[in-house]
Amino acid sequence: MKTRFLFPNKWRLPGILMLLLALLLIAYNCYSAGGYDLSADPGEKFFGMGLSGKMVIVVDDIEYLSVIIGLLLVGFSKEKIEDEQIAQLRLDSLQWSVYFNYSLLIICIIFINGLGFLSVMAYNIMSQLLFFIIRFRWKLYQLNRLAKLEENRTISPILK
Amino acid sequence: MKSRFLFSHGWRIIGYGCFTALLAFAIILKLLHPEGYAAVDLHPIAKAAHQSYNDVSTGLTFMRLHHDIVILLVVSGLVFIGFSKEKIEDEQIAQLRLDSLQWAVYFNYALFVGCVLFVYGIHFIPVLIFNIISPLVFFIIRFRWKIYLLNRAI
Repeated sequence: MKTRFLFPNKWRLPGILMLLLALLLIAYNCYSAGGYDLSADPGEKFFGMGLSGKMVIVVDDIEYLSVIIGLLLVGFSKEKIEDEQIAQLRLDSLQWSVYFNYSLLIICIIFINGLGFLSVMAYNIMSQLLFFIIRFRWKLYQLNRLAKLEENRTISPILK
Repeated sequence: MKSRFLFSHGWRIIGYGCFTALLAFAIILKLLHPEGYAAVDLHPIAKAAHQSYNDVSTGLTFMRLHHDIVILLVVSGLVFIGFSKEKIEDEQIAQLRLDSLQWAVYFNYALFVGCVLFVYGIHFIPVLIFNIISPLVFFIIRFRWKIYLLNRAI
């Protein structure tokens, strides 16, 4: 099975950096604006720094874009050694994350109504990629641990 | 390559059934309320439940229930249609399915990035709503298209 549509391995580092930037921006927004404000006044000062409303919009955009692009780069960059099993794991994880995300979303649809659902939809932007990355990394970790155990078991009788 | 986590072939019919139910639901609602949501307080169910609750709250409850039912039908229908097995399930189709899923994730996020750049404020809410179902829609369209191409080549 060939792997298609993947970014080169080097691109993971920019992805991680973008995620860090996003994390900083999210923390900044949380502590300065006090949450998701629908009626954002364009003339509002931004964290007392005199940034105008347009600047707030630009900062919000940068936050969204860095989250999305960072997650895409981290999730879909090639491994250093890319073989069939890893490709299979990746796509399996993607499908699993679709199921998991939609199950969570269905629960949220049933139990959350009104304005609260807005934040559910906002999290829904990145949750699928997040679940995908967590499951893919976890499966890779399990695979590597298994391989290491096998290696030890075969080598140790000869060495000791 | 084995295909995992899939519904059996029969579930696709249930998926289409979900959309038929949705259509029927929409038609019934249109017949009951030709003017739209403004008349929702006058709904017979709301009237019937009037003994224990007042009109406004039951009307709102019914409206919320209606939204929930619609989203649940759409989402479960799309999942059943997209992730049910083909009649003849082989390696190539499994590969096509997962390729399409990955492609759909890319396409959806590309569109979403465009929306983030060009849509602001209150208009962003419809984008978020469509974002719930759009990955599955793109996935199904591309998967069906690829299978059509495959069949035509044969």
